[in-house]
Amino acid sequence: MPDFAELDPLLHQSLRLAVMSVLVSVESADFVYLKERTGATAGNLSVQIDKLQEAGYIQVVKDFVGKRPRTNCSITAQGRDALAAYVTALQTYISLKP
Amino acid sequence: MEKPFNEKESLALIHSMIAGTRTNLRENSVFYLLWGWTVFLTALAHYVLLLLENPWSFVVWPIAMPLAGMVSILMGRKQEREAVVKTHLDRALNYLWGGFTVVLFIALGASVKFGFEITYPILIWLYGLGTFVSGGMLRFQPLVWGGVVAWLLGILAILLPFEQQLLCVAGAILFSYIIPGHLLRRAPDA
Repeated sequence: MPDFAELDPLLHQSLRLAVMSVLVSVESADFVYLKERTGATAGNLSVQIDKLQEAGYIQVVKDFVGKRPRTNCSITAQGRDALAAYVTALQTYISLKP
Repeated sequence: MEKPFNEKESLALIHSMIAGTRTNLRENSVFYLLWGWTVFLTALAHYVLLLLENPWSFVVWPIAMPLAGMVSILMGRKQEREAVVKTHLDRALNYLWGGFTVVLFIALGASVKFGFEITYPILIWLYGLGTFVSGGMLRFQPLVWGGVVAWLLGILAILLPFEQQLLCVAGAILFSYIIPGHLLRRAPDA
């Protein structure tokens, strides 16, 4: 019987999962948008974005709009596959749970 | 958001994040209004100049269209620079209107061989196609119906002499761009 050990630990964390869910539904989103949608603090969001980027789940591009720095994020093919596998595992778990 | 959460909460979170993604319709409206009013006024100016038997009446198009094109490119770049999110719908619309522009230029090029009497109805159908598909993607009915009206006016234009085809252009633009464009400004996000 599957258990939480089979769930991707990187995605089984609410803020990282929220970020991935937003990014799977858009082409790209900047840091301000992700902060607004997830309700996270800037510090926490920044840490979780770094973790997702290190895992290869998201791509992060930093540039400037005028003098203002911008952090633009988009999901990678690897991230999309990981999220799909995570959702499949979740569904299996729910259907097998008494 | 660090507290542990169960599998049902996980699915609910994914659902709420995906369902909360919206495309800003008001940002799209500026392009319909820019091109709508430009083409509308240019077609009417061309028509009036033809009535006045001005031999250079057609010159209004090569003056107005590049100007609107430049403004459109600048506005598009500004929006893209300042956008905090780009949705799949934004990308699809970019491809639609990019393809529209290419076909528009092909039709204008072909007009050298086939004449403007057939080109203008084709352009009107093209305007209708653009707004019909955009309206479907944005789930915004005034654009869909505006596209249908444009197609009907395009059919009518085939039966009319060139001068009156210009009125069909103006009418098609009024119903497919200007009216939906103004309504779009007040619409909620899609």
